[in-house]
Amino acid sequence: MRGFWLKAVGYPFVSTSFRRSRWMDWLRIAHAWFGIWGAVACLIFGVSTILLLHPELFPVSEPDVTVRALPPPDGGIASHQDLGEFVASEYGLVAAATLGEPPHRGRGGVQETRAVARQRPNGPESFRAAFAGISRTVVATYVQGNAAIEITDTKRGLFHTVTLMHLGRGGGLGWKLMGDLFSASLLILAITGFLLWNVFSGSRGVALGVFSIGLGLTLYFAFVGV
Amino acid sequence: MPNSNGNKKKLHHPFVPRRLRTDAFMVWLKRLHGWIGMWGAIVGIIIGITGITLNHRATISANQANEIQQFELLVPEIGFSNIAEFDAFVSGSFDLGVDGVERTGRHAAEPGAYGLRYQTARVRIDATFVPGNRYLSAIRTDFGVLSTMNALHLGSRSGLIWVLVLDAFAGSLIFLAVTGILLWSRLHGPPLLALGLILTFLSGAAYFALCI
Repeated sequence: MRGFWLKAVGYPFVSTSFRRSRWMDWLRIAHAWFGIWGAVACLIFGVSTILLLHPELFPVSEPDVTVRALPPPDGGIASHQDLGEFVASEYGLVAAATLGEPPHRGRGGVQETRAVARQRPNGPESFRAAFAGISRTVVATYVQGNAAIEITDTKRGLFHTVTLMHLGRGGGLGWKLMGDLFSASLLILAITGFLLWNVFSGSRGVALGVFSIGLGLTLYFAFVGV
Repeated sequence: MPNSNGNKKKLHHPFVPRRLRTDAFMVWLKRLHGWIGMWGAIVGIIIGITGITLNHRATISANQANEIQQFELLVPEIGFSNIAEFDAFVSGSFDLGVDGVERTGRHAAEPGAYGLRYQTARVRIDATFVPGNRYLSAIRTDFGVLSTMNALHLGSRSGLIWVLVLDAFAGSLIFLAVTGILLWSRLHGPPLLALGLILTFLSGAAYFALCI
């Protein structure tokens, strides 16, 4: 036995000439590699889908928000950049965090990186720096002349973090690209998986039947009612 | 089942515990993977496409082209005595079914005033009526294909049964991931590289989750 993957039982959804070509091996190998790459993503997105769809069953715990004081450095703070660098070094905050204003709510998870002072015309100068991650967000505010920097440290629980990962909020461009790649993998896996259907698993008719149930349900819900 | 050529099978399926590395188990595993995958294939395509459009919702999904129309419906002379009559009238006018259409009530400031929002993945109708009026006004929004698919991805305005379909899909993803790893064979590539890829994603996810 050469392993049942190679048993020539038949693939009803690809042509005979394709089946005998080297492309068939590539189809199998692509399905396997995209699948194994996305396996962890399947777990993260699969679990978080259920958490997100049923908030009444799985309420997301409130984040743990702490406000604390941090004495400014001896040299003082002259810019948003200064504040960001100082807070980063004090708390060991690293790359992928965003420097500048805290992320705006409802902006589709896009982290704004502008560092713009918002102050009254004649008020003292104030500086802000925000480090927006998925499980933790740190926002620092310092008003010139104050004794201490205000630090708001938000830590989120595991469930909350996983659902934010699903939504692509926080984590910056890197995680967004991983999400894109996973979405593309789903497409590739669906198409190659369909082609790789083997009569070992059941006849072409029954397979098309199951496929049609998925298709029918989707179309029904897309166009139901009106 | 006695295993006469255990070494070869060990080569072929490195992630399956030795005790389970029998023909019967592997065939059963492959069948289940095939069936569940076939079921979720179409849902996977929709979720995959909208995964990208929603991931970049600020740039791709914002400002979707939706068709918005306003309707004025001549109401019965006697008006409506309760919200059920109002609902029946609007549903009848727009040929809305009872199932699969999400209905959201509106607060009425005075007796005899009614408001309902009807939603499906494809259409939204906002109907309002205040007593004494001859016409009832309704705004109908026909969502574009992408908006509809996004709604299906989010399970919003798409009814309980679709949410159950999504639940089943989510469960399938988990199942396919686990059985997919077990079905890995040396014919696909070196198992160490496969393990490396799994760990790359795992550490990547952990890095982005805990990066600050």
